Amino acid sequence: MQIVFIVTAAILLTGCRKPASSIHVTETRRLTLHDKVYPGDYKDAPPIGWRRLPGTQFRLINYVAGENDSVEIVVGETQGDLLANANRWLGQFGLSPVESLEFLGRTEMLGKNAYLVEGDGTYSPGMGSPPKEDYAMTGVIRESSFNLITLKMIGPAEEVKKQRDAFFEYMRSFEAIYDHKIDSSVEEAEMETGEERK
Amino acid sequence: MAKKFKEMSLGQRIFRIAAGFEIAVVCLSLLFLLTFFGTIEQRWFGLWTTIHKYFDYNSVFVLPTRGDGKVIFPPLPGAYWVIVVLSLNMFLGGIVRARKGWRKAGVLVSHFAILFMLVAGAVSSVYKEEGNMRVLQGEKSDYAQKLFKHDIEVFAFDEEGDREEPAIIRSKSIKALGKKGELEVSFEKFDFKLEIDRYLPYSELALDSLATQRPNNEEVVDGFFLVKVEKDTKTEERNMPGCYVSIKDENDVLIQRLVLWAGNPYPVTFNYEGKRYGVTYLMEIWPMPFEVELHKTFGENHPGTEIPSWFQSNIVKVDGSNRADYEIVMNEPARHGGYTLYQAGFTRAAEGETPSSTFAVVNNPSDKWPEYALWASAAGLLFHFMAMLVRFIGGSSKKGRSQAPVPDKPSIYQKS
Repeated sequence: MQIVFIVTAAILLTGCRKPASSIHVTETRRLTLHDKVYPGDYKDAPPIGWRRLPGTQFRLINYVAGENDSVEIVVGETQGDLLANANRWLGQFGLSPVESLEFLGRTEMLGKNAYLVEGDGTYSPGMGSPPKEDYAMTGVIRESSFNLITLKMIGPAEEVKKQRDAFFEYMRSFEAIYDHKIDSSVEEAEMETGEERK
Repeated sequence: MAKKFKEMSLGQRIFRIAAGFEIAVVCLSLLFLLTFFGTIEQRWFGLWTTIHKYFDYNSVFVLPTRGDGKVIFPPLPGAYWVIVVLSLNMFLGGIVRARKGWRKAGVLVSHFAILFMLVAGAVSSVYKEEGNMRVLQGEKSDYAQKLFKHDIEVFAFDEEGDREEPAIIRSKSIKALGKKGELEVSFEKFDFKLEIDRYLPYSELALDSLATQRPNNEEVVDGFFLVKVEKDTKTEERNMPGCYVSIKDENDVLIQRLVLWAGNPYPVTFNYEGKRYGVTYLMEIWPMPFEVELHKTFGENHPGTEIPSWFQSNIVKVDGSNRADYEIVMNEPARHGGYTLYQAGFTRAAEGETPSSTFAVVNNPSDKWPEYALWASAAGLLFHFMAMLVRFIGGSSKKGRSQAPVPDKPSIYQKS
């Protein structure tokens, strides 16, 4: 009977292990096509000082930059009219809406024409958040097949100014990725984006 | 004449018990109870969780419980170990102890085949790997993901902005933490270390705002925080773990605080000594030794329903310079070098979207062993019953001749 008790206790105790408090990782794996997955199949190249945060429903790509991560850089998608969205952005800074797209700056994003929206002043983001003074915005909106693609930078005016060149360099860095596409479907993708595989 | 138990030596007694019918009856009874309670319990805790609780080799003892956590039966030994004992019993009783000879050859083969099938199950339990591979039509994939294991991967970006090979913190190290535990991770590849805390096995990532409530005063990092949620027992792959991590240098100075959530499809990043690093919490990546190109996926639903009646994927498997076409249909998988691809699902695309196929990928060294065991068992039983039939027919004929009466009195029809 004693032997049975000892054996049972030994079996039970083998299941009670305290988890390790530290480990040393040596394991790696080879790269796969998973490591070349990017939002919308576009690879971006942010400046070294930018830090990527988790995305959300409206913020596909979400970066912070500048002192105390005070500047936000967001790539997103939205619906609706391009002019209406541009005026909504201007309205967040208390700026008057523009009557037509002609009043917006022109640039190019993801291989297509895009519009530049800039403003500064007191930023009122809405949704119950308090207004922020001495803020600035640099944004780009582009139409796509189904919706609008936006790239927007907001933060303290001084920090936004410091990041302006990096912002446009980032905008130009987008590169279509075809590694996961079968060769026959690459041609279709190239025709749609206007970009050839590098 | 067989010895009585009391007259046996200790070794003989142990052998007699180990090889006896009693052990087999006890094991089969335990397996019945384990299967019964597992079937009931999976209704509350999900199939995958219950299978692992009852049948995993790490489960030495099992406590049957119901949905509210109340224990409904005394502890039972884990099914894996019951089957180990049963296998040993079958080997000792059904093969070692069994009578040998040509008359018993068929039975011995059948016993060995069944034992082989149990061994196949043990090998599968320890060595089988399985995952899902989802491919969009017109695209290819060279990896699967294991739905119920979530690793943390840490990698550097090279000068081209591409990812370098990641260091992997395995799921089992993270899961062992519990909610209040902390784990310090150092790396062979990197100079910094990573500390994991506040691990939640079932969580969601919430955006902090004035309108958001944080019921447990959860820590906010970069405007996000982790919320504990109830486990989804119906669709277990939807359960997403999360945790907080601190990146520290060798002097324990904080480099960056991050929040990780397995439902986030892309990595978060931090910068250290002029280089950018990514950290991601994701379903374990399982690299495949081949690529699967999905050229076409199609199927049909049962009339009036969204339930597929059949679906098919036309793929090309690329292994180096070798290309092979396959048509994978429900219940007709594709096999290659120990890997089996089953058609697990397909998604019809809404207008403007791309249809996709999901393949269940299994690598099981003992995949075909049960089939071989069944053939061997059938052959053994066939041999045994044929031999019995032959002996029976042969025995009947001999009995017929030898039993003819020999008259000891003259027949009345004989001439005198």
